[in-house]
Amino acid sequence: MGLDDLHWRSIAETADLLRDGAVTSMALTEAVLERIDETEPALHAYVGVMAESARREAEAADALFARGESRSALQGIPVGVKDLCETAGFPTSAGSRALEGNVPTRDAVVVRRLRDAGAVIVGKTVTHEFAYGQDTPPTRNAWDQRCYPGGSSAGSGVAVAAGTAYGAVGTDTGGSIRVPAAVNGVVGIKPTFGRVSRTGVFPMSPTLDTVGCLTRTARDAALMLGVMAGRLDRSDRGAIDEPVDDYAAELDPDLTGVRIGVERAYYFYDAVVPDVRAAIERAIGQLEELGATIVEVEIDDLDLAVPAGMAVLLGDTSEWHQGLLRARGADYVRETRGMIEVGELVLATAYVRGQKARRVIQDRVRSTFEANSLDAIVAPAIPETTMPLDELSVNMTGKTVSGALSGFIHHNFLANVIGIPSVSIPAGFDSDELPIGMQVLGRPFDEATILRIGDAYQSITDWHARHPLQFEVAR
Amino acid sequence: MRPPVDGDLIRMLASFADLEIPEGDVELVAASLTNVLSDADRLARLDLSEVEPIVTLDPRWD
Repeated sequence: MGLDDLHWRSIAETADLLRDGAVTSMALTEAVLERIDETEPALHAYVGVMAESARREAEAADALFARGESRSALQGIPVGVKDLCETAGFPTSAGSRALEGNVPTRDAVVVRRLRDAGAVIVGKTVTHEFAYGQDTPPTRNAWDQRCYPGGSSAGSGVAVAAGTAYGAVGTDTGGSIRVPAAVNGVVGIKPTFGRVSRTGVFPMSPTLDTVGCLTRTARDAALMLGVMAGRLDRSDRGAIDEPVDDYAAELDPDLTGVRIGVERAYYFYDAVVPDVRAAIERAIGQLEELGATIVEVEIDDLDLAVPAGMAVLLGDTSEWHQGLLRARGADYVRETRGMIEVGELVLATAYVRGQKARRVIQDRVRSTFEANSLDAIVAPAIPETTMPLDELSVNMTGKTVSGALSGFIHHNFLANVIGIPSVSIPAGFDSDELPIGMQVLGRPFDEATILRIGDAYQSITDWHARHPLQFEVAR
Repeated sequence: MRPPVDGDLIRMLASFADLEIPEGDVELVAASLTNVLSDADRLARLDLSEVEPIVTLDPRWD
């Protein structure tokens, strides 16, 4: 790979080039801005490009390099930020006409941490309206522009896959990082609840929301999450005060001693299509070859994670929207508005029952991890690959699984409902050359182990090194 | 047996919530609420009598 292909380099490789002076952050940033211009007509990953401030940040990063200073591996690296995160002086609309013209006066804590680490923020990436996943955003899948880009961190997944960002911030309340990662063939990590501050990020649910990142490799996710994670101080109530591991330092391709659970009843059911099932089974075998011990487990009541979480999500989200819905209801997309209206009508007893059920499900998962000395569970990230937009059902509450948001939630909501970390790793392609994602779920605050598993898997596979090369404006 | 969630029920509940639901949304809301309530009913199979709900409260003062 030559310098002409810089946009496909990993953060880790590019950080080396920057540090060695083989490339400047300004040159990198200009190249990314140019690539955004080229690809956006087909992909629509960005809602706003921050060219001016990005050039200032690149200049500042280059000045640091010139003085021999390095704040982090992200110094001088162009990244995107989901339009759910506040950016001082730059519009943040959470994908909604109801917030059109909103220009925050502060950065979200996660944005501040990235800026302080020397990252170059090139733009705000498209989100489904208020991250609800109910509308059809303009963003198109990086591999097939007729297809669903994943959501709600749609723009972040597509930008990383298309080489218009080296990494991107996403948020995840029920799969919103892992689903776009899976369908665009990139890595997406939803950290433990409270691992990354949510201050300055538009909320859905105070006990389900998480902020994480999408990158092309697990190593890059380790580097980026390392910058984003942690609580600033006691005033930062959006994060939990737990020590942050040096995730990159803990990567190790030898998985000897790592115990990985496989829960077939919940994750390998009828709706998992053959190509996905085969890819994940093959990946499980490869993890075993890397030294991991595979343990078949059964966890009771996992099927209650969705109803428990949904009762909470609906109530929480609608409570936040009460004022805005009444003032600007006509500006919401009808489907988003409908879900928020439903949330106002859910019984308080159902909400409390949901919160209690989460505790039971947490106990079930914890006792399975402890009884089997598990470090992680591996599963398909979603039951299928992406599909043409007109074949997707955004019904979150229905019984349909195939081709529907409810199927994605089936695979992803558990990690939010009990707050554990989970990462989606590229694990192959289906017969239509569309990406397949493998999900690795871990113990609370043990992002290091699931990233280690992902990195080890990527050390013997090249799915993450395959890139979409043609972008066509979908009709 | 719970009565079906129909448009009239949605309009009545919305009025208690001081919420004006556009007529075009009523059918969508009724269908979704039916599904949500039916899903929530599945939680009844759990014994939750001795379970503390997940809530966040930090009683420390800054």
